[in-house]
Amino acid sequence: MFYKLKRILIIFVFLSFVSQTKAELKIDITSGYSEPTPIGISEFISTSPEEKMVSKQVSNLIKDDLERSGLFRVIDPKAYIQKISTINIQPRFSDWKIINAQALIVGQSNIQSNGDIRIEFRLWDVFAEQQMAGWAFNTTRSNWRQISHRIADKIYERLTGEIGYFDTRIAYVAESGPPKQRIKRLAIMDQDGANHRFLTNGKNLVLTPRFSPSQQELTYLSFINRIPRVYLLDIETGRQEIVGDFPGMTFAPRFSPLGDEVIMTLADKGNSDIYTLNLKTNISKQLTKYPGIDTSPSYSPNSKQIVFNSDRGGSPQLYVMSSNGKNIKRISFGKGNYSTPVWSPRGDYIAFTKFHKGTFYVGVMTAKGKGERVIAKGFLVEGPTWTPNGRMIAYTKKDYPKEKKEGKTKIYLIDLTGFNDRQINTPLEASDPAWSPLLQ
Amino acid sequence: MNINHLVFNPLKNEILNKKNYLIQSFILHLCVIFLIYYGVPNLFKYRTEFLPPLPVEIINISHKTAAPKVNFKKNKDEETKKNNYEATEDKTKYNTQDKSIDDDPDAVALNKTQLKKKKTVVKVNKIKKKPNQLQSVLKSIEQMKQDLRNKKESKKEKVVQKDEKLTPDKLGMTLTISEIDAMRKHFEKCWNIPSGAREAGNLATEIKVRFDKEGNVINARILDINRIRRDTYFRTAAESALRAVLNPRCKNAPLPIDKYDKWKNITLNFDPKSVIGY
Repeated sequence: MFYKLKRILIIFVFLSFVSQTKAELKIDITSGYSEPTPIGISEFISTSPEEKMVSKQVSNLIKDDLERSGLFRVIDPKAYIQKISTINIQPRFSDWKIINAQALIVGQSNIQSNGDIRIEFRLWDVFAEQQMAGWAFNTTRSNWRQISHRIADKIYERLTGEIGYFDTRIAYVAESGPPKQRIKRLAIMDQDGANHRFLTNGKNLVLTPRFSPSQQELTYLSFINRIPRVYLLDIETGRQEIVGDFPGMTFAPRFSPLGDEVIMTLADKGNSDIYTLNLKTNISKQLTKYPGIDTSPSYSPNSKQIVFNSDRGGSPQLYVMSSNGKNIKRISFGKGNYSTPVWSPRGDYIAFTKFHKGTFYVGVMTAKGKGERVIAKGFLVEGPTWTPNGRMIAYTKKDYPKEKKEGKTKIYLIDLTGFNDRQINTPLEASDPAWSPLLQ
Repeated sequence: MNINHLVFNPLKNEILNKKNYLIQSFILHLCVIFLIYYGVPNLFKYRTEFLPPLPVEIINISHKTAAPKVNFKKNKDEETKKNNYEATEDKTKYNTQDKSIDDDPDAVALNKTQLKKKKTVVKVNKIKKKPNQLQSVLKSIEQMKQDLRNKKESKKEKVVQKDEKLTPDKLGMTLTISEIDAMRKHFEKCWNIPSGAREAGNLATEIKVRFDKEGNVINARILDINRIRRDTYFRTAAESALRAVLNPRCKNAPLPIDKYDKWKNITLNFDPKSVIGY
């Protein structure tokens, strides 16, 4: 009897709870806006003139990194009401709310007795009135750029949930000269444009540079002696060597995620197939056997699958196969010709170039070919490459010709969703960008 | 000569044949019934294609909203005012009407006030009508009209005053669709969606919000705290939603103060899926 009563009581309590929760109103917010988040970066606290200089350099670089990501807008310091004098006390949030700063970065720099610099900073959520993060970095004076990128990475990670990519580099093809005598050189720079240098002298045409996972090497296509072949280049020493000893042309190279193999296309007697070459053993392996064109292979981040481009269905389309060359499945079914697929480092999307009715597109689709979306289009847009966190895509864009003059070729960076399209500044015209993996 | 062969076999065959006819007839009739019920198939008509399902937002419309009730009340009052000279003797009518409204428990309070008002009208008319009984019908009507005009204004004021006194509990009011839409738009303008976030299709964040009477947020908290600790993408999405709620631009939520009980505690579900197109 007691047991029954107990059961009834439990059911009654449960039902009353359910009815209470049901009574509360729930409203779905399914729309909003997508704009750079306004943030405040207070001048980093310092005492000596040298510390002041370091503070200025570091805070400026953090500001530039965050703004370049397209996700943040740093509010003009002239609008700041509070002058931060110490980082160990909560800021006056009301002062920052007035200027609509949603996050606030405060910091200080010290030069230590051994000459190293110590940079401390805190990240505050202004609306929630709480600290989101706080770190301190020690480094040598000459290393201030890298440490600033690392701080920007930390802030970016905390605010977006993604891995920061500011401490990375971009390799690309620098272009100059008239269209018929175009000089193309390999170039490399930090993602913010600093430390720019050319890697090849421009004697031979170069295309499609791709980073190794270690960041120390590039694989690319070069027309040395007018024969297109895949080469390896050691970035630090400048030493280059041919990849494999194949009878025909090799092109469209990429490293495997572990960096022990190069996957590429070998064209021989009118037939193009995909091959891998083990860089340690120098053993090659043919993955596709089709009497047409199979090209542009790209590994999935877990090395289990490869996406490539093939005309086996009548027109160039995207296909996915296992890393042993089996289980080939077509994944693109839209109108137009698809090419240059590249698998996202996150593994969730494949970026590609599409050509349809005289217009080029850069788009993304899932690894199963679903959810195809165009994120950029133009007279010539092609060759997408992912940032290491898989959130943004860099691509080549050529302007429309004006008054019989060729349009300029530039590199652009766009958000995965198609927002925040902006140019990456380069000293010369630029194409074929390749974003490095994260520095370890 | 086998008699069986001559006599019984034909009989048996005949019975069997009849049985067949019976079955055939049964099938035929069944077909006819089917045709009558389902109709004759049109072989030349194009086959209707199954269209892909379109997502539809289902909105629950409350059984009773505030606006029609107030209108209803006003109309009733006006009707009674217009016909009060006829309604004097029709007490029974009021009773029957009242009974029908009494069936609706939500409207009891309202009807009581209506009933009181009507009774007062009836009393006034009774008093006024007595001397008019000896006069001509036309004259009485004119006088009644004049009385009506004089009283209309004062009655209107009373109605307005009484409407203001109506509380949501008495009327059983919920927020109307337009009020919920206004609320939705109010927070949409403050929500900076984390574009390009991973697994954006699975980042819906529920935030429980408590408002003061002026529509300002007193307290807001993310409901799924456990997921925040283990999922950085969700944490980012949740924090962006929380910032939208706490954004100073989103003070003074546009909601009617007389329904404060209905919106002082609300759960806002921020879902970026449809925006990002995942």
